Amino acid sequence: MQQPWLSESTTRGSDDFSPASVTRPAGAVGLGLALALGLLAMGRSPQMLDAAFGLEPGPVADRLLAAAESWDGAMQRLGVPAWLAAIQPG
Amino acid sequence: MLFPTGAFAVFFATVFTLHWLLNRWPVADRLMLLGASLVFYAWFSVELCALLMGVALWAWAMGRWVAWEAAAPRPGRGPLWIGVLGVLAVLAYCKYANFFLGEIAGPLALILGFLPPALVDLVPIVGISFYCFQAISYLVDVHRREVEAERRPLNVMLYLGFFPHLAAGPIVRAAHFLPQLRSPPDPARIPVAMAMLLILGGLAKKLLIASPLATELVDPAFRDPAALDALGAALAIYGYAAVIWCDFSAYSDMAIGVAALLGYHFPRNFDQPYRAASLRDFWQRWHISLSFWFRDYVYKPLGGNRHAAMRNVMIAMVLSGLWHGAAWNFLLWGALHGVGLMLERAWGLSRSGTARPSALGVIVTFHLVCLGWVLFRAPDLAAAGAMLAALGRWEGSAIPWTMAGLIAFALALHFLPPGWVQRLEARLVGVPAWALGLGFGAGVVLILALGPAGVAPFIYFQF
Repeated sequence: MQQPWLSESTTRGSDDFSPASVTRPAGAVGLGLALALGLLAMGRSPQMLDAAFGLEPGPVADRLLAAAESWDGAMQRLGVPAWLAAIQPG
Repeated sequence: MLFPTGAFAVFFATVFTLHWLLNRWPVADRLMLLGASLVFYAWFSVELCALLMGVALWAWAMGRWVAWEAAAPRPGRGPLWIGVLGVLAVLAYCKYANFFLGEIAGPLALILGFLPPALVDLVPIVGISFYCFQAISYLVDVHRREVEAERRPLNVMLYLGFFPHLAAGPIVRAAHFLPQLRSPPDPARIPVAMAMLLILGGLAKKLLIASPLATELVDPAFRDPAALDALGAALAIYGYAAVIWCDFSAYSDMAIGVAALLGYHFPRNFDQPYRAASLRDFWQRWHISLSFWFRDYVYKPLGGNRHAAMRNVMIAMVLSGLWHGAAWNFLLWGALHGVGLMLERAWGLSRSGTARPSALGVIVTFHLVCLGWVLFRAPDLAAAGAMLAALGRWEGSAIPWTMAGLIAFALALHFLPPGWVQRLEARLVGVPAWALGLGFGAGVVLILALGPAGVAPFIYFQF
């Protein structure tokens, strides 16, 4: 085993990871990453809308654009983009 | 595909899900990871994926031959040399053809009356040297019997092309990574807290420090160094020291964190390099995977410490400089470090036990490294000379306080006590994964909101 976060690892020495590293099972990490992705989608809704506008026209792009517009609209109503714009420097 | 983008977030979420779902079927999992790595690289160039896979197949086939030869009663080095030279030929063509074509294009066009179509500019190939260095690592490690030759090409292709380190390293040794591919990673133990801290820290260093410093201070200064005075030049040089550390270590940290979320380990690539009290110490802290690659595959085979150590140091450092590009400033940058290392060795400063960390040693080493960064960053020798000349010109220009503050912040971050990230991680022991995910997501959103609108490519993509 080369992964230093595993107690049976043969890798030793100065590293970011060690047998003391905090580990969690894949399912729990997946849930955590899904929540992170959800927050990212909330915070980046204007950028997602921009990206959807940049897609080649077509039935899939139209649906994505409609979804991005409604998602961004919902986030605008919540005030997320305005709050993030307020903390931007300059 | 760049790490700090929405496209990568969606890509990684897909790969993470598929990878852990396929954990019980290792071959299918590795095929998926290889396919994902090709998709990742295709974002840079679809055509060059074929070149990468060609190099991987070459390394695999030659590895089989090298292993067969190494098992012979009187093993020779022929297959190893053929394998390594084949990889080096690809590397040399991709990295240096433009330089040489540029040198001969003018005279040839004069003779022929036209420029042959083969002499058009090659597109810079992202990550090609990291890729080729790992292919060489595989062949040499097989020759040294530090790793078994792979029977099937899949593991070699995935080792070389694994997307977290594909574009800018770290260079992972075959003997370290291939054993990780032979048994599926443990789905019950993912080092999520450190992985998220590394990714968040990398994002912050790249977007909040490196990008604004590069675009608002360093790039304009190096475009026209003759317009600077001592203060402007000093800020640009210190600024670049901060930029290159924040940019490159950010990529390494994110690569290490991303790989860890998939259950794979890449060794640490930066260890507070400006804390070094000697150049030897610096090279054990800066781009560690490249330093160790040159140590193990260039310096030691040349004779290492046993025979003509000074010459070997110089050759290794000049080659390291030329690896960054076929240009006089890179060659001089490598030579500067080579001479510094030779002098340290001659004066006994680099012997273990004598090079005690001292404030003076740290300050002197930092400024020698900064001198090297001028050669490294300047577009040519004339610009490097102009930047150094500006250090002797005092015109009393105003201090750009925001940029000066950002440099001070970067250096303060760098000089935090060793192990502070591990201490931070230890505080997260009892935090559930969903809360870690929420904190991570909030951190990413905040960093993206505070950072500049676009993401510039990482500096080391060009190498």
